[in-house]
Amino acid sequence: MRAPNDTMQTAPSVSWIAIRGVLVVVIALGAFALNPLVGWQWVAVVLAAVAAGFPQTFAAWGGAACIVIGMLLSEPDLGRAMLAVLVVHSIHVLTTLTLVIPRGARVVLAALRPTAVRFGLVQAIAQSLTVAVMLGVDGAEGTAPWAVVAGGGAVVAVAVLLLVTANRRQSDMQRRV
Amino acid sequence: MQGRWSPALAVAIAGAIVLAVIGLLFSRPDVVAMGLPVGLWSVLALARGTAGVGVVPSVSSRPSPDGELLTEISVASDAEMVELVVVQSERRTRRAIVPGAAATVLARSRVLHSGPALPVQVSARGLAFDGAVLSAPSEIVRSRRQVAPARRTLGMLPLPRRLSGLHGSHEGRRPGQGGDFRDIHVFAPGDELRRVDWRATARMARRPGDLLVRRTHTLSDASVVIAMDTSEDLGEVVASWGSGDFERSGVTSLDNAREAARGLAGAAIDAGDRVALHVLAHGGRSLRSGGGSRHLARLEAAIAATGQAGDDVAFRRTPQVPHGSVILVLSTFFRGAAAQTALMWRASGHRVVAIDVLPRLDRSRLSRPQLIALRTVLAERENVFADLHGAGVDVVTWAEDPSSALRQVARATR
Repeated sequence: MRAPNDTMQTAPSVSWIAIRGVLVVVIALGAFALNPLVGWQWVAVVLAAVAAGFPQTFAAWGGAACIVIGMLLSEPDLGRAMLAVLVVHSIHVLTTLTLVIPRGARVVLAALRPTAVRFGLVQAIAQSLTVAVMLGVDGAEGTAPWAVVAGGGAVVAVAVLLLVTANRRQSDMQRRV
Repeated sequence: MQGRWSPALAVAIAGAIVLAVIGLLFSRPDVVAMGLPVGLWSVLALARGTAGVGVVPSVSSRPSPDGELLTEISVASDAEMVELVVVQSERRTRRAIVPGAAATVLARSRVLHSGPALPVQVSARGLAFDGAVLSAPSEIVRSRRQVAPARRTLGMLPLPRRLSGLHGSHEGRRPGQGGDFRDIHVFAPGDELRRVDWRATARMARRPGDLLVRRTHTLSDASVVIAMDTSEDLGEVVASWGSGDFERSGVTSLDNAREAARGLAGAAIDAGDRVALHVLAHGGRSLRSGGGSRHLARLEAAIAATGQAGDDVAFRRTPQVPHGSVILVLSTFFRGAAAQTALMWRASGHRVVAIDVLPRLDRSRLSRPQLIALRTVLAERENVFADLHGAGVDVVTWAEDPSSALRQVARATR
């Protein structure tokens, strides 16, 4: 077979399809593991396929929603909670990557190193907090769910703070421009 | 350099809030915990900000084996990742995500045609924080190359009817030095004493004191003008004409023209002649008549840089050429302008050779109307050749053993 006329040589890399394939696999496995209802499992798979084809639709977050539904339908469990934290974070990072990795692109593996390091760091903190929260709730079973209220309130407060900060930075940038 | 946020950040913040609210509503700490990593990720992203994603791509040519163009693409960036968009040979777009620090990519393109080439055009965009921070695309950086045509050795070239130069390798008709015997002539002021033929003087002198000298022909150089018509670039695959697809066109007429120009220039300079080059397009390159190896290097560089003229570029009026030149017009002769120019030069007394650079045609994949149209334009071209021949312009087909055809033309007397 004749060699192609134009080639490009990079460091070891993977195809764009691999990133989107991993996204589909993560959503599907998460849905099958964390959602007991078959219908929602297949909805998650379909949304994963849409997310892989059209990342800008954020359909992957629909897949995450199916997992949340599965969590709500099941009893709280530390192992499931830790798995859900891992899956939702993976879905978010992979969706963010697929938004900037166009079709046909090669992704040099070394370029994903900062992402992998950050993923590990965030997981280490989030999993520790998850264990702490879940153990706190289990220890206070039968009493008021203070950990839920405190944790939820903290997340909302942080999120509102982040939104305000983001808006301020955005307006600062526009003013500078 | 300041970048901008990807929509992923807003979605992450919204997702964290929604998960926290659902967890609160249903008293489920595990659901709240699901939003933790996304919330943390958002905190880290906002703490990082949108600065530091500037990227400057650069390209450099690398030595490569014959038939290939090797270009190294590198980026200078403080972003985590860089998205490269590389257009190879103006026909294939490739994308790659590479690390921001010290990333290099090698682009390799097979040389399909001689002449000016654009093997790589690259633009880049810096990405940070998993792609949550994006920079604006950089300027497009281009790597321009000139591919020299293959060197073709040609033997004898046609000469002008009158050789006017004072030094060279062609024997002229004027008396001078270096050539063969011309005649015996009465000594005149200016003749060298060593030229006196004593035997002829003893035999043929009519009066005492008369001296006869042996005269020889002078050696002269010829003035060769190469005129390239760059208005068309037609490949051997007729089905590709007008499509702009030079990947499947096969050898094109301009490939032949460049090869012919280089071969003719080399043969003329080797013979000690002076060569001028004119591109027959408005604003086309012209090199004045000259000789020697440095002039040949200039000619070869100019020939390698000669590409197809734009569709809207007008044909150039007849360029000035040295008196008594042999003019080699390189064209496909589909348009009448090149033939008109050749006829005007011929009418001015120059020796003109029309070199048809149209490659051997591959008529496959042509429909019947296309075949008829092709036959029509080829018939019109034959009429043009007939006119040229009738006016005393020799026609040589470059695709069919040009060396012997040129030798034949050189031996013929016009």
